[in-house]
Amino acid sequence: MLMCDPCHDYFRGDLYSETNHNVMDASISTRKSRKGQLLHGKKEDEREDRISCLPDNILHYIFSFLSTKFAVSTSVLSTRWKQVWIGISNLVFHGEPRTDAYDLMDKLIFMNFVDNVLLHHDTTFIDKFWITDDDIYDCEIKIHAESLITLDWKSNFAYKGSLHSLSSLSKASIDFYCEDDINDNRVSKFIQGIDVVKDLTIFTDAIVTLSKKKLTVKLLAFSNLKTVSHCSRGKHIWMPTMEIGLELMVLGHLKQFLNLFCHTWKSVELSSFDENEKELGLVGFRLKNARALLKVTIRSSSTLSANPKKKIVVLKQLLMLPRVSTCVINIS
Amino acid sequence: MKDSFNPSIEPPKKTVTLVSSDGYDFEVEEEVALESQVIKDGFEDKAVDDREYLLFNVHSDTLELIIKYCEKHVSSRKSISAAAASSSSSNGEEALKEWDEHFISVDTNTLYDILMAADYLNIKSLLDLAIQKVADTIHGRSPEQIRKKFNIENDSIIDPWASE
Repeated sequence: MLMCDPCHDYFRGDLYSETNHNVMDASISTRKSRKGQLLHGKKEDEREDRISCLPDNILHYIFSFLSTKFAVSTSVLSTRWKQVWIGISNLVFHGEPRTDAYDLMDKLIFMNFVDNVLLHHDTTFIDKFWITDDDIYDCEIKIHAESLITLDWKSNFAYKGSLHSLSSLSKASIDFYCEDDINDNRVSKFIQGIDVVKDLTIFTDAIVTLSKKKLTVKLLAFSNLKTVSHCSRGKHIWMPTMEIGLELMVLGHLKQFLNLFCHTWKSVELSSFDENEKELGLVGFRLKNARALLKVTIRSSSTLSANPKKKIVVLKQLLMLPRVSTCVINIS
Repeated sequence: MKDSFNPSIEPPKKTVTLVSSDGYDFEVEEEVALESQVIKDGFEDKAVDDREYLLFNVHSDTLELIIKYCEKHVSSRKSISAAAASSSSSNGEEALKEWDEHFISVDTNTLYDILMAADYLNIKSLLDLAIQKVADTIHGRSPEQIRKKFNIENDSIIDPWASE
């Protein structure tokens, strides 16, 4: 027995130093080894409330990852949390998805909630205001935002949306569709509201709506407009190139709309050009009408560039199109 | 000193020493330390042989994790760009995302330590990772559940008008 003890101890010691060594290897070249008690000591304060000790700016950052509903609901947690949400800079409202159970009461609760948040929130610091509008109707949304820079508007105009004093607006993306006549006024008011915009992205549906309602002409009053791009469901078809004056890059079958601006175009860039009647027709239309046009750049689509024979045929077709200006056509 | 005089002879990896709040030194490669915007901002002003940073707000336990994170991100960035250069397909980004996910699955105390350190050192991607983790915990929970989860004591005086 006595003989065994030192052996046993030795064995234990060896094992101990080996594990210790492993810990050292895993850690990053520390001068001393620590561990053990430290980790053990930490376990005890596991039940400490540390989130309440985080500074407000961190809590606001956490809230920016959440919809406003959850940010506001933290106000009841404790006195520490009561005022924290007021400083959040992102306001994100999701209406409840409309179900059979969704009734007027839900709508009122939601509207009331939005109103209350705006009433109590420190509105001088809003970076983002986002509201899903599928379930909002028969109400009015008034936006007064002098420092708003970017606006993404997606709506069916089921409610009145009026924009006031958007004097800093620089970029807007509009996507809307409305069929019935009663909303004419709403669309027209909205368009007037964004007339200071420099960079405008229009979705196909919005072009259709504007043309139908004979409102496209209102865009001419946009004195700051530098770039217009057309977007059909996430894909920009005409890529804007920056030059002096207005460059309009719009694809669509709506020649009336194109006609508004085309005589001021300086340069046009068309990306992923594919050989088809519609696209050729559009280029033809531009060349025929754009008096100020200096440069047309066409980037062929992958299918077209894979077929050099066809590319030459297309290029010939393009060069034969009648032009009013002495512009250069580049194809790549 | 030697390094700065003979940079061409077998260039050793340039290192920076980070000192934790409890006094432990961590020697890390320069590019790993530069993941921190705070270190990066003041980096050029410091002399080459005096690249030691005292991180008063970061405990050694946390610093070790932070360094592990930065090292992983520096090395995967390299391998991702190498894979892109040789146009070989790689799922590097996805693997890194998975690694991140695993990395941030820690107990709440460690999570706050990481969060505060990432904020202090200004490591945006790590801060976002930690914040997202906390936000996910809050999302969809009732106030009572949140209190329980985060051990928040409700010290509000009950408002008799509050219950409608």
